Amino acid sequence: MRHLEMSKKIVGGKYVKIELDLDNDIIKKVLISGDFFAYPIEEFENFLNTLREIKFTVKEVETVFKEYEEKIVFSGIGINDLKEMFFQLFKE
Amino acid sequence: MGRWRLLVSEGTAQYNMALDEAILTLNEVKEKLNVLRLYIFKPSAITIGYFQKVYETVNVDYAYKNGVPIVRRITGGGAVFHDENGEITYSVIAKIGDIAFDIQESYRKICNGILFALNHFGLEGKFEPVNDVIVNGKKVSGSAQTRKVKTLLQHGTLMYNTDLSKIEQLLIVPKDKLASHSAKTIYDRVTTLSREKGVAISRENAIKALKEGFEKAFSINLVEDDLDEEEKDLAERLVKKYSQREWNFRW
Repeated sequence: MRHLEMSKKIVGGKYVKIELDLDNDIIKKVLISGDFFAYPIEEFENFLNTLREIKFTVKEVETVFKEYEEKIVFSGIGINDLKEMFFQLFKE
Repeated sequence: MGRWRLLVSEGTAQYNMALDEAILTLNEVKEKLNVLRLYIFKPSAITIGYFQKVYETVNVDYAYKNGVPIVRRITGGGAVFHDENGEITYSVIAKIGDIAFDIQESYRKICNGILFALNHFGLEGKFEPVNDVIVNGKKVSGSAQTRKVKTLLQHGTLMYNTDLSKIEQLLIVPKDKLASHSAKTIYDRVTTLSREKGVAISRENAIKALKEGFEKAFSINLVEDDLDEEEKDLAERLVKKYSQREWNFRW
């Protein structure tokens, strides 16, 4: 099991931390925590659930982001901030 | 001029969070008046944002040793120390259409109630997006919101006489967060009405100022009311959720 994490204080915004547990490049656990806002919470939970069990590739993660970018409104962070952090994690 | 219900009370953190959720849930499905709650956490407690990790946010051991409960909110945002002798929490539970569909605009409009309350004390506040109200460059109020389809819940603080040393002891505030506000310590970042005025401000006066502030902000009449039976029942059932470790310590 591989653990990846990254945290960031968004300029003019909020703190966010992404944590991933990978098993053979499959996302087994994902947590996005911080003092940001996401509306509605139910869709945010669905977003996390959808990320679970996918392969940790740019293509698969981007597909999930695309599915949810219209469904969730973030405040204090942007969906692009999250995407960028995921892309940074790909490099690790 | 519209009429809203005003509910003023004090209670435990678990009960306060349960009651906010109960009223939000019922207002979403029933035709009910918008609500302003003004309440005290008794005993003093910590609430953390829905998305926060408790051990990264709160000095949990210190809180337990000092009998300060920790409860997770259904709203996002940061951790708050609710000082029973120095902080009033407000909740606005209202139809989204009566406030603003745009989230940032709704924060701004609701925080106008705080700004008018500050005027009551001769203080000039400023709304600082995303969710803060500042006085003389320091935070005196923070807010957090969640939404159903038709109804929003925004709760927030007004620190009229909070013991700031307790915030420093109980909460973990990342240095980069303080630095982003050009602050080195919590005292550079956060303040109270009493500190800014140089005189002790009473709870009663702070409640009066908030009531008048929100009436002015929304051009409404606030009519003091009691909970109805449905609200009481649902709140009592939800207290269990906010008392469980599975909820409060889920992350």
